[in-house]
Amino acid sequence: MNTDNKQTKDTASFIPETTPQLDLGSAWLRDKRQESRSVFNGSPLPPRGIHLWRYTDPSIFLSKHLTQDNTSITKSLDGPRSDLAAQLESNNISGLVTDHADQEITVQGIDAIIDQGVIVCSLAEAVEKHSEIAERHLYQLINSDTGKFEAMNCALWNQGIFVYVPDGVTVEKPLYLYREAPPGEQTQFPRLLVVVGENAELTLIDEYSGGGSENNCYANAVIEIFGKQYSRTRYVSLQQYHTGVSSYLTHRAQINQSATMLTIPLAFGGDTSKCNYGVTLNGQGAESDIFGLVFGTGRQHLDNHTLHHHVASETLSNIDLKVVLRDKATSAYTGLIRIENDAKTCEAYQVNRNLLLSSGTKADTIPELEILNEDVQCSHGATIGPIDPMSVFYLKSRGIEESAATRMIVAGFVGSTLKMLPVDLRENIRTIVANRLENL
Amino acid sequence: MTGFTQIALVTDIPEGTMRSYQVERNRIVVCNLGGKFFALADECTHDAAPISDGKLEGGNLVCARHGAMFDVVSGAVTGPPAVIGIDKYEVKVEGNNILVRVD
Repeated sequence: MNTDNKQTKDTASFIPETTPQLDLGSAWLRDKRQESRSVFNGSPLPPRGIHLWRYTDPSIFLSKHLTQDNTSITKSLDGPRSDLAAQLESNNISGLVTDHADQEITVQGIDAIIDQGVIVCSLAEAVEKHSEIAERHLYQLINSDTGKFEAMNCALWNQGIFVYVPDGVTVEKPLYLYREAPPGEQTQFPRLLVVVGENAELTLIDEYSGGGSENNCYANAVIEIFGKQYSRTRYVSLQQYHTGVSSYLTHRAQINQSATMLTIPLAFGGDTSKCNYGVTLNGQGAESDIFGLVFGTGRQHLDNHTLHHHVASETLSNIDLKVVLRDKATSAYTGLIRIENDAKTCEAYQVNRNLLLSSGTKADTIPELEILNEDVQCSHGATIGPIDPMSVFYLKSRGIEESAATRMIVAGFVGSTLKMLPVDLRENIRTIVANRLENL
Repeated sequence: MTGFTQIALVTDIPEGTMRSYQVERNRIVVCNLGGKFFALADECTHDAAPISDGKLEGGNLVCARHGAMFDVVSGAVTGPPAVIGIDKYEVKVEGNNILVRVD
């Protein structure tokens, strides 16, 4: 095959040795960064057509803007966004962490949870001040071996966010992380490390917003979450970048004995978005649920992958990813359940439902099972289709206009996912969904 | 984007061969069939593999992964397992330039 890129992209597949981020942190961290740089520079782009890269052009996720300049960051907010400030004021959240393009981390309203022993700070600070915990967990789930773009983040993340909940501590209200991409032509490498101790509990809302309307901003995010035994973790990822952002996100969580993990990926924004969510069930009795919602409009391309990896026996996993598309938006979903040979009597379920609201939309779905023993219960399924015209007809026969009928049906479709969200966020997402249905 | 985009030179694609191009977010395969040029989406409708990884056999594009076949002129399916045709693009030749209309 001969392949040419007619539209020459300003891409870089090489991290120069002089990139400032490579010198950040302790000697241990600098070694990790250099190792990651070597892997990134030495590995080819994933060939288009291979597993997980069949639907999205990998060259989109390269960028020439590898060097971040602290002085050039433009904050579009002087303080926290008004709705988040209101939540903080009314004590609906246990704290607000604002990440300005991975350049500056601001932490507000966490006094109460600090008294419980919870640590919330930049990851750069954690590597210095809490080095024992940070070094024991950082790069354990996602490192330079994970993939080329993960190696890019491992080399170039700057500030990052660190959250640690000690054993036995329950953080009653959600902790809100607000990541703000700059409006200009820049690249950011957000990174998050979360450690939830034994029998501890945490709800985390991780929002990615900002960027501009031109196709010139790139975000490459990495998230590592550890749930120790009997811990209870809820992680919500809310992506609502502006239309000019290309985003690549890799998430890996590991949960131990009898721990539970609820992961809720919500993707609405950006131009091209590729997200990879994975949970390893590493201890007997661990349970993981992934309930996601993706809503694409315009010419957005949203590519999502999920992984449930059962390493231990008597573990339970469940995935329900819903996709709504309108205009000329496209979606690809690849979901893998892998159950190891020694992981007996596991249960694993996976559903991907796609609702196509316009004739120009396209959804691809590939549920996958890799089951290495016979003592399991598993199922998977997928649906793709438009709204059932009979349902619309029924509602119209009750005097409801067609556009209102469509909104009601979509609201019903996404309703079970939204029920999983904290109340304030649930209302925000309902509004986002309603706005995306305008002029349909 | 509207109108035609210059995508290649006539001399880039000898008769009986094909070549893949990226135009904004569209991956396009241009085929030279008996001196005439045809442009189609470079994606098998069966499982999204690049159709340009396959072969140009007579008037058919044959996918390398599962053997799905498509008519080069119309994009229509001519062999399983694909059941939906490939999108085709309007092509014109001006001098030595091949132009493709990508909307």
